[in-house]
Amino acid sequence: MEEMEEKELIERCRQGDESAFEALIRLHEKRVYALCRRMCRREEDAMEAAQDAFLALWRGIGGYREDAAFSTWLYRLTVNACLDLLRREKRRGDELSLDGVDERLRDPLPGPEEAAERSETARLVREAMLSLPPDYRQVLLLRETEQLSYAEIEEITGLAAGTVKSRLSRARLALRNYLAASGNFFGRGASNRSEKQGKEAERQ
Amino acid sequence: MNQPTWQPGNSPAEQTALQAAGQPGSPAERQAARPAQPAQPEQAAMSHEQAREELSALMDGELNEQERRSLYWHVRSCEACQSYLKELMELRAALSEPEEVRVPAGFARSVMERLREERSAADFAERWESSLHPKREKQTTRSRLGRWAAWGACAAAVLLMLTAALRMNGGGRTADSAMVRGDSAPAAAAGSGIAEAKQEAAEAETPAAPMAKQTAEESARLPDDYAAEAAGDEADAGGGTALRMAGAAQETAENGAAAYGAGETAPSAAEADSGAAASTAPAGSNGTDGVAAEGPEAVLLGEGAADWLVRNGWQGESGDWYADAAALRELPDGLSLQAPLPSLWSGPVRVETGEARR
Repeated sequence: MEEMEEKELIERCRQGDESAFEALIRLHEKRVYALCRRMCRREEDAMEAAQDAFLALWRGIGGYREDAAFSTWLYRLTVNACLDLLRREKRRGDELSLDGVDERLRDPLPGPEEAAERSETARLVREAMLSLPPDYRQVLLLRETEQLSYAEIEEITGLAAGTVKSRLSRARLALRNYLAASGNFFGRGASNRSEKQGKEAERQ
Repeated sequence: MNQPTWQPGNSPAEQTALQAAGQPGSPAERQAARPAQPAQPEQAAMSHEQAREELSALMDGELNEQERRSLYWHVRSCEACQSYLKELMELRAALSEPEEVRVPAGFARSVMERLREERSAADFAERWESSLHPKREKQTTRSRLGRWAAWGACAAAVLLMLTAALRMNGGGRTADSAMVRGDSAPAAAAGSGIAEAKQEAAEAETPAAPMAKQTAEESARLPDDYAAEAAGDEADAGGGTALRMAGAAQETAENGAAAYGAGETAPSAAEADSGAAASTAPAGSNGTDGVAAEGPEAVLLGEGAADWLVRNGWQGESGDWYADAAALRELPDGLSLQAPLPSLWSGPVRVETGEARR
């Protein structure tokens, strides 16, 4: 089934062929799940968002037109699934915050597996990423991790031309500030100099 | 093609600016003197905020030649921006560290699982909807007449029950409250009685016909007699009354529909009964069949449905969303329900948003 070309799988999905759908999932699950994992803090959320994305694909396959790239569409479904989930989680968190801190929204303590997996830098970068608002996180991930162009990102997110450019810049600035504040992240010694100069420049 | 001139101080705009400043140009002063209308685009001074944005785009290879020139003109003499560019490069390097993400085993299967769950939930919701609101399928005039007649008889039957309940309870409580509380035997018995009749009519086709006929024949009385009889009845006779009323409804349906084909009128009788069940079963009734026990569900359609639900509804423990029936009857423009709510229902309704099925 999986040897079949993606085009044929899509066509079969349109006709309701569930085994074709499952094959399509296996083709794309790694990319979809990875993006969800980077967008969401918790693994359970990443799992749910990834499932949501594929279910949305199944439901919408009838409306998918060949002229749009399939991957673009799948990306869109994925980021939307993540944003929707994060919005839901935030709402739930707001409700619970009346009673007390929602444990789920706290940083999960890294288990031994997690700690082994990631270097200190990577963990720091991930935390920095998660500190960004989801809208900013998504464009940065699409650009840096998925290597998509501004035009492609505009198509996926529906943002106006120019917005992607400014949003990326602000995301990077925020990330840079977060990492600079967290310690000696940037080049040894150079970071202090650039800090001072940055502050001077900002005053002008 | 315009060749970039990188020697400072030789552009017309700069000359003007320098004259205005009244001093020989120095790097800081050149930056400070900003011409209002730049003679050539690449000479326009750039703010640091803008430079940061341009640097970000430069890294992504998204600047055209003119923009690159503009940027260079600023950065070549700005150490802060040069440092910032270095930091952006370091950021990129850090982000490109391959973070090993493993897809959980059985992921594809878990998606199929959810697909099946959602489908069976949708099927249940649809069956529920259609049991409350009969689909408007192509009908012959005869059976439609029969249905209207059955509804009319039903309305009469409901009125009778109210009257009966009033008389039985000696006017101390209103019939409504007696029903709502569900502790009044007639209401409960009626609920189950009607449900029984409905079940029988719905299940069997041909068998229902003779049975309904029989029930109808048993009670050859006119509706007026029921009131007199009910007044004197014991509470647990209410069930019988209900059955007879259901029978009367079917009888009228019979008369309305010239041909008593089991296929035609049995469903209409069932619909009549379900109508009665829906309108008489109180909120949270203790009906034995569970038809009214859980409360209705609705599908909210239209853009902004989810937003409306978040603002006007609430989320239950199971994660399902609910809204008040009253609110659902006053939807703003652009939103609608896939099927109307039961007319007497007030209280919470489980709501889903979604595409119209079919």
